[in-house]
Amino acid sequence: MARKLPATDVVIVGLGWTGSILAHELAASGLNVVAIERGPWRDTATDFPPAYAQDELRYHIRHDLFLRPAQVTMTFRHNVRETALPIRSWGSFMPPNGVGGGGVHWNAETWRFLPSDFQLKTHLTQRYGEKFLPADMTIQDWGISYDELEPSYDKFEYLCGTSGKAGNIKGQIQAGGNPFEGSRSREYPTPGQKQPYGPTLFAQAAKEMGYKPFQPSGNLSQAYTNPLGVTLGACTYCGFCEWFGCGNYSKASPQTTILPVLVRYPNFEARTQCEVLKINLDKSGKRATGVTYIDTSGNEWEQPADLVLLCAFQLFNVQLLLLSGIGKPYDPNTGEGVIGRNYSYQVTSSVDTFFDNKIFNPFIASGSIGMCIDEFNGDNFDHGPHGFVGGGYLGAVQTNGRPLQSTRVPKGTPRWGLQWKQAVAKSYLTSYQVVTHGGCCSYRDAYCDLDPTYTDRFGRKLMRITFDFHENELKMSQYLTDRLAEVAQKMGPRQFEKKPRTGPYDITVYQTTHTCGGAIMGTDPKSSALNRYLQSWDVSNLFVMGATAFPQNAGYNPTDTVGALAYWAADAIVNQYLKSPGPLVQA
Amino acid sequence: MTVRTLISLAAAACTIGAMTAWSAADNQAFEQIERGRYLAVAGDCISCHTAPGGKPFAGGAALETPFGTLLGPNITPDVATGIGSWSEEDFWRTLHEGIGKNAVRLYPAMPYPAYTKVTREDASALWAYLRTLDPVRNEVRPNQLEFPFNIRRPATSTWDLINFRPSVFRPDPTKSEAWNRGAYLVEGLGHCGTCHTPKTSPAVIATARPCKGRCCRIGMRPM
Repeated sequence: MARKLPATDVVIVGLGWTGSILAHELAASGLNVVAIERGPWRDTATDFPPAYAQDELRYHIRHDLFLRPAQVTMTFRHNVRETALPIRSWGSFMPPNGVGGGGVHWNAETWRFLPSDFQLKTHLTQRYGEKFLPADMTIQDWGISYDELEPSYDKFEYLCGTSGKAGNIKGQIQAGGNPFEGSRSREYPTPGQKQPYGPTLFAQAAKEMGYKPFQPSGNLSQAYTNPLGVTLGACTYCGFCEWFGCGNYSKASPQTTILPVLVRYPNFEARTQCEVLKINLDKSGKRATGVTYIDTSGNEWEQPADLVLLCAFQLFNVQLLLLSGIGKPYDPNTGEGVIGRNYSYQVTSSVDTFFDNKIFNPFIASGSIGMCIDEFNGDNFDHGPHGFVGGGYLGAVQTNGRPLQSTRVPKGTPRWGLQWKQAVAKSYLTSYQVVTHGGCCSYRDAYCDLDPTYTDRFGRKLMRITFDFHENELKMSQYLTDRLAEVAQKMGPRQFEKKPRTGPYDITVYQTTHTCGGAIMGTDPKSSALNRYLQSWDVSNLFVMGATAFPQNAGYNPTDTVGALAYWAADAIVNQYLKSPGPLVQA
Repeated sequence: MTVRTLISLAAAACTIGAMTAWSAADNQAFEQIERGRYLAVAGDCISCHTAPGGKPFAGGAALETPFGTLLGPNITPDVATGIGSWSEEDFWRTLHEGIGKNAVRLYPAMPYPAYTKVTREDASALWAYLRTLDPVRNEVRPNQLEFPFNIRRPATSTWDLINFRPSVFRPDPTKSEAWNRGAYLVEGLGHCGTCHTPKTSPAVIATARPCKGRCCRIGMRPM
């Protein structure tokens, strides 16, 4: 029996990136804000100090910072012909847990989507014709344009102190930046990081082939104080970035950019290690009354609020909407319903190179250091002759050379024994991996719903993910990998091996944590769960953040767009919704 | 510096390093906390550490003894009035040796002669759970004993010297797993004998007559 707590103005589910951004914006506007976070409080100095944060066994192998499947998991199947089974150990993606969320252990790759990405359906149909797109592809326009979102991208990047070199400022193409990117209002907040040898060699080869290499945004290249007054330091290239907390204050996270300011607001409260069980609705089903959560002693509490912001990680946002009965669940047979619809992912691949005469020092690494080319991303090239849509960036992104997992050896090496050990030792310094990072379209048969069989410790149904790669994505990956191999070859290796993404989707092998969709934004309530301000079409005092809103995924890491959308929504809430609560868009 | 000194310094450094690494283990993990909650229920910590009508684990419950009253302390993570400034090491020492933070020897009303049986692993899980409790500001002065029993030293250290040896539970290999599990619970967190085994003077559990009933003034009689 849940005990009812005193009401508050805003309850925020999840205190990661979007939760922290929204909590700050709303607390600063004078509202009483309660954030409820399933995981623990985390502080840089206490939880990932340099004294022990760089522990590969603990954090990378044993998943120390991540959600425990015993607490929350989901079931998975490729298609409706299979029976979904529970995920008992994470592989393909690593769900976050705790204050800071994925912002603690991401690698700070901060990319903007292309202008055409936001009008993907319209753009591709106009350029290639409707018949060019597979019949079961369900990509959509977002309902907002890149230009509308640009100030929010800028705001998030300046919060983070993102380093890099702009490629397009107010329409003027800048040398050294990405010539394909959308127009920016100004340069990056900090200059680009210095590059190690591998990316430099890649960029040289790319240039020789006529491409325009640039460095993607990175971790802090120098000390920086953000607009909130929080200071970050310069990255020291430790090579323990993704999957680890940064003890050096040089990776943007809620801890290093917002929380020090947020916790000083007397009208802000965080309740950690409290798991939200559901969003409560009134009798009409059109208004949220608050949330019910459970603490570590097993006590249930009801937190009433006027405004509910669902800011958990994408997977859990969709799960909570399904369990709370908000919005019509998607049915792949009829194609009707919106909750669970348009689930997408990321399609990555690589080329391994082996040299005789070059030393790469892979341990000199940072989360998003590297050199990339964008000629093959989005619709930056003519897809007509190729029979697929979408693309990705190609690059040398040097994030780590950690001892336990840096065991790249040439094909044909025995898989164990003396020769394997010798090959590992030899290849550690002299081999190098380059990657592609491709987008993923949405399809009618890729979706989330509630599992019919498996339940959690509370008896609630687990969420079921039904997903596999489609021919379009596999063709794209093959194409991108071939183009990447051409650049790799130009770098002068003794040998190289192409590793395109192949089907079926293997959920046991880590790829990215870029799961998207499930409660997408759009212009039509029949095919989207949220309007252009990330407000629920069904429950007007509920907003849903995150990559949950992406109608499909682009060929870039999602966090910059997630952060931008959070600022975009915050602006709409503060300047429109609070002044006149109700639907911001007429259906 | 002699070689001997160097070796002992190195050994000391290794110990410190090992201790630091050990204490850095993640006790924010869901499974740790859930296990800790289970163990806290098994040990029934809440009943002695919660006053009637008081906040959970915030202390103030009175235990009447032949020597006067003791109040269960506040074991919420409040820094000022609870155990918020304790380390996991402090907590382990309390359970295992009956010695609290700042080397305060506890009266065995805190049944550390039983809790000493609890494994280090279980103690860590308990600690993880206790750390998630709501910190409650509640000043409790545990020692309300009559004179001269309220003077801890040398009474408590003498009592410990004569009557107590820290010792983690050792399973009996000749008995079944279920028997050993039961023995661990009864002798350890369950601390059944604390009430159900008669005490000799001076308030020592008569281990020769385990669970045979009759314990003065604390109330429980049955076998």
